[in-house]
Formats: sequence, C-alpha cells, structure tokens
Amino acid sequence: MNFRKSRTGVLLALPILLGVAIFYAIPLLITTWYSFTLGAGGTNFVGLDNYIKVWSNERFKLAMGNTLKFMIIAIPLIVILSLCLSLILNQKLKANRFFKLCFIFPMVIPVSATIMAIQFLFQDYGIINRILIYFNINTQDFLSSSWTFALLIVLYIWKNIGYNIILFISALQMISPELYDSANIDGATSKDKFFCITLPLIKPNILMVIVLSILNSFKSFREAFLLCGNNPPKNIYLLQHYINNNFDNLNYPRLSVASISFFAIIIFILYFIFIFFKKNKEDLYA
Amino acid sequence: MKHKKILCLFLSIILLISLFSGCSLFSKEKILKICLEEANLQEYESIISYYEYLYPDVKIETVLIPSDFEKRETTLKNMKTKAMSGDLADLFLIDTQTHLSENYKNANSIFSNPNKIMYTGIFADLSEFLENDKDYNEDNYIKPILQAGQVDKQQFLIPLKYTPIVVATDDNEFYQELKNSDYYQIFDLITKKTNYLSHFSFMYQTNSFSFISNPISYEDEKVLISKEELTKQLSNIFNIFISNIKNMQNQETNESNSIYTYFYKSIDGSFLNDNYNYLPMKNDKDKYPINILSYVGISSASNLKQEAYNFIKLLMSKEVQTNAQITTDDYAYPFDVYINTLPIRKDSYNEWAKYELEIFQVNSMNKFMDTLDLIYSNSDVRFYSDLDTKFFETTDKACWNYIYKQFLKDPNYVVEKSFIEEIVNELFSLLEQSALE
Repeated sequence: MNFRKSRTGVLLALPILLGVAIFYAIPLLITTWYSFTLGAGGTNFVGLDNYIKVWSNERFKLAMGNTLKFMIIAIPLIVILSLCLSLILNQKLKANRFFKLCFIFPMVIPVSATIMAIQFLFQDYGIINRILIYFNINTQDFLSSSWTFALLIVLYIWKNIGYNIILFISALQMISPELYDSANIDGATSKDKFFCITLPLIKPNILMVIVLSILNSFKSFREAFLLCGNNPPKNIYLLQHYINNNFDNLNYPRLSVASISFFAIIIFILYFIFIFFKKNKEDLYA
Repeated sequence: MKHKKILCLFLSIILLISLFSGCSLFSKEKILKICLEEANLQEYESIISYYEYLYPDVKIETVLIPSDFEKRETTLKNMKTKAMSGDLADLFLIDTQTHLSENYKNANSIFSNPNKIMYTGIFADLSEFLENDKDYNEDNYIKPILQAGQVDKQQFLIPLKYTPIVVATDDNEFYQELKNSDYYQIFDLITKKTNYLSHFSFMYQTNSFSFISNPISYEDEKVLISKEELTKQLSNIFNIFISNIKNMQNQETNESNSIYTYFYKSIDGSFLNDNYNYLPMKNDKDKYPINILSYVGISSASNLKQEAYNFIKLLMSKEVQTNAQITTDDYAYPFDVYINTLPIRKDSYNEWAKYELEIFQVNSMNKFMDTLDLIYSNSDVRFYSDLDTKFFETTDKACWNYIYKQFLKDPNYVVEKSFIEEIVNELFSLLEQSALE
C-alpha cells in the first residue's frame, strides 16, 4: 500500500521534476561546465582562469555592484511600501476598489509603452525639463546622470507594487478579526496589534513577497535596456547588460562565469533570508 | 504477455531505426560547413566547386548570413545561441564591414569585433596547420597583414581583403608639400583646396577610427588612448568638418581651381593618368593604417579542422589570391563604396601589379606600388570592427546634428569645449565597454 502510494506520488511529481531537471538543473550544470572552459562548446578546459579574469574585470565589478545596490535599495523599499499600502487598502475605505485598480494597472502596461512615457517626460526636451525651463530652473539630464538609477528604482516599484499589494491584502484578510477584537479588549494600541498580531501572521507572505521581488528585480534590465541601450550610464549598468553584451560578443565563458557567480550570490542571500525567517518562526513558537 | 510482445516489437523498431540512422556515421562523405555572407556566395562559388573537385570526400554546405535586415538579425541570434553549445560552422568567411542593399546601412556581423574575438577561444589556432603545411612559406605573404590575425604568435585568423588609406592627387605642388604629413595636415589642406565632391569620402574616413592607432589592448582589457588624446583627435575631426562645410559653401570659387583627389577605394581612375601621385596618410602614432575588410577562421569546436584548413590553403593559394584581386575597369566616383582590395601574397601581388600595369599608366602604377611598399614597412593593421562603425556614427551625428546647425546660424562658429568633452565621454565609454566586455 505504502509503495503504491509513494509510486503515485512520484508519478504525480514526475512532470514537474522533469521540468526542473530539463529547464533548470541540466542547463545550470552545463553553464557551470562552460564557465571552466574556453571557446564554444566547452571543449577546452581552463580551470579557474575564467573566474579569475571575470572577478578582476572592472566592468563585471561595476555590474555586480549596481545590481546588488539596486536590490538592496529597491527590495526593502517595495516590500515596506507595499505592506503599508496594503494595510491602508485593507481598511474599509470608500474608494478602495479604485485605488487597488490604480496599483494593479501598471502590471498590465507593456514595458515599451512605459519607457515611451518616461522618455516623453524625462528626456532632454521632455515635459519635466520644459517645466524647469519655464520656472528658470537648471534642466537635468535625467536619462544619463545619477537620476537614472533613481528613475529605474521608481519604475521598478511602480511596475511591481500592485502584485505585492495583492499578496499582502490576501494575507491580511486571512487574519481572524477576533484576534484584533481580543487585543482591543486587552487595551492594545495599533502599534502593538501590528507588531504582535499582523506581522507575525503574515511573515510567510513577507518571505514570499521578498523572493518574488528579488526575481522581479531582474526584469528591471528591460527598462534599463529600453531606456539607454546596451551601453547605459555607469550607474545603471546591470549584470544583465554584462551578460547580454558578452553573449553578443560570443564570449560564453565570461557569460557563464557571470551567471554562475550571480546565481551563487542569490542562493546565498535567499539562504540567509530563509534562515532568518525560520529562526523567527521558531522564536514565535518557543 | 501480449504487452510484452508489443514492447519487444517497439524496442526492435527503435533499434533498427537507430542502426539505419547510424549508417551515416560510416558514410565516407564529410560535410564541411562554411559560414559566409549571402551576398558573397557568388564570389566564392567557384572556389567551393574547385575545393570539392580537389577533395571529393568532402562536401561543402554553406551557412549563409542573409542580406535582408530582419532575416539577418534572426539568423545571427540563432547562430549565437547555437554557438554556445558548440554548434558552429566549421569555417567562417566573414566581412568586417557589410552594407545592406536595402538601406545601405552598416549591418551587424556575427563577430562584431574580430580584434577582440581572437581572445575568446572561438577560433582554432592555425599555427600548427601552417607549420605542417609543406606548401606554406611565411615569406610568401605580406607579414604585417598576417600578423593582424595573431595573438601571442598563434594565428587565429587569416585576413583576406584589406585596404590601405591612400590619397591620389594630380597636383604636384600639393603632393610635394604634404608627402610626409600626417592625416590631419593632409585633410586640412584637402578641405581647403579640393572640389567638394571628394569630401564625403574624406569625412567618412576621418570620422571612423582609421587614424587613431590601436586604442585598446584586449589582452590587458585596457583603453590605451587617454581622454586628452581623444579630445585632440576629435577636435581635429570637427575642424576638418567645419573646413569642409565652409568649402562646400564656396564651391563655385574653388571649382575652377580644384585638385582632384581620391581614396584608394576608388583609385583606379587615377591610374589612367600619368600625372597622379599618391599620399599615404600617417595616423597619430606615425604609422600607416590598414583596415582588414574580410578574413577567414576555423571554429575551435570543429571536428573537421584539417578539411577546413585545406579550404583556407586554397584561399591563400597563388591562383586564388591573384585572380580574386584583379580589378575591373569600372570607374568609381569618390563617394562610391566600390572596394578594391590587394593580395596577401607577395607573388600574387607582383602578378597583380603586372596585370594592372598592362591596363594602366606605368608611371602612376609604379608610384602607387612604391607607396604600398612604404605602407607595408610601417603599418598599423587592424580589423575593421563595430567600434569603427559606432565611432563613425557618433562623430557623424555630432557633426551633422549639432555642429552643422550651429555653423548655419553663425559662420564663425567654433566648437565649444563642453560639446567636445561630451562626445569624448561618449566615445570613451564605448572604448571602455569594448575593452572590458
């Protein structure tokens, strides 16, 4: 009986296991192998040479630094903002539905249309600069200065916040109102209720939102690429630019090393996030 | 039991199919894949047929890079994706500069920068094949041209077509005045004295990278040129441009006193006249630049390296080198993109010269040959790359979209330092990208 059950389980999981193996595990192993070889097809083994070259490459350092900087700034921002907004939208407000739609709407707008709007607003002779000229204020080169990085973060948050809000609102609605009622009877303040009831109960969802935000942050490359091409200003030169340009240059070893290095860093970050949340969960039940 | 029979039958069928398909492995015919421009197929067809005649056990399959822009982009992307797993053609016969017929714009090549690609391991080292080839004698070839395809004495690419930059002039005074000058001095005087028709090709040359000596060390991943030097070069280019547009405005006065000048690319016409002299132009490091326009290399993942080398051997042979370079008697205008190339073999070069001498004026041809010898003795050879194209596009845009408009407003306009600095930063960023990626 047990054997039959486990066999059924394996059979049911087989499609997804095969999918993971074919589309993730095997390509990952192949890329890892390519990162130790030179040229195409992985025939010429060169040991750690590629890693040494790529890790000492200024462009790679810049790309990795910018990508991590983007994640460090954008992810906490989007998580905190979406949580705050979902707390507000979870209240029984009059125009609740309208506001929810406003936040979800950017998700369905094509990136190219967004970029056109951004260029229309922020380019050298765009609306913002025209307004600045009108008020005799110095114009700004928004699309190739330090502003570009900020613009990219704003775009990322604007585009992805709706998804996070949906996830948080669904988690908030799962919390039993009785818990808040009893807290009210005990004289708990709003702050107490948030830190002692809301936050601990939506922690699994926070973890999920963080993971999804990390994954979505990779998609910001589309915006950066459409805004400034494959050689953008230094402050928005992301790892995907490096990978993409090396693909164009047929430098597959570099491309593989960059991908594997970034993969390792992401796994490392995710591992610590999981440990952090696991520890907190244990503390909660201790 | 019944199921077992079906299973056995199924397995037997699979086994039979795989055995039959495996038969091709025992087939004696080898298929050599050659990747080349669709537009060049006609040029190489006879060589391909000759190769198949010489090596009957090898069949050549061409992998064509389309001339149509959209098809080309898709094909290149597919090729690059396949290349990652080593699924590449065995041999690449590539042009460094391709113009699409539909809009005459520069087209992307599969290897955007051959100077850099030699460091990626995509190409096999040909040194061993050359050493083992009894017919190969290094002294038969024009050394600086072959050396352009080398990295650490390993020969990754063989240049096939190249062009030096030479100006032909029928004004002896002008020639005497400038014969030892650098490109800037020559251009400066040309723009002041010549008829305006020549200027488009001059602008094309100045705006490209041709006169800046190798600005990047791909081995050390470093930009070799400083921002100050780049500023100086760019100021020269802008000065030439302004001089040019001033000259264009005064063309009527200059027309009566014009000197006819041509670039080598369209130099044939000059050989018909004995009065012509040839001015090779030095770059910023006092060397004569030569651009390589076409090359051949073997994929490092190829299983048919020897067969591929045999094809290269044919391309480098005296017959092919001599016949491929014989010029037509077409007349080309200065702004034509009619590209006339020179042989890489010395004996073919002599044959070519003899042929040319029969058609053209001996005096002019001899002077041209002397000029070429001077160029070979002190040359700076490099593959034309996407960097040259980008450099050209950036400077050309700056010239026409900004400087020209400013000049129309004020005929005494001098290019602002801040504008030069902006363009220098843009170009420097391109150089850094090319060096480090």
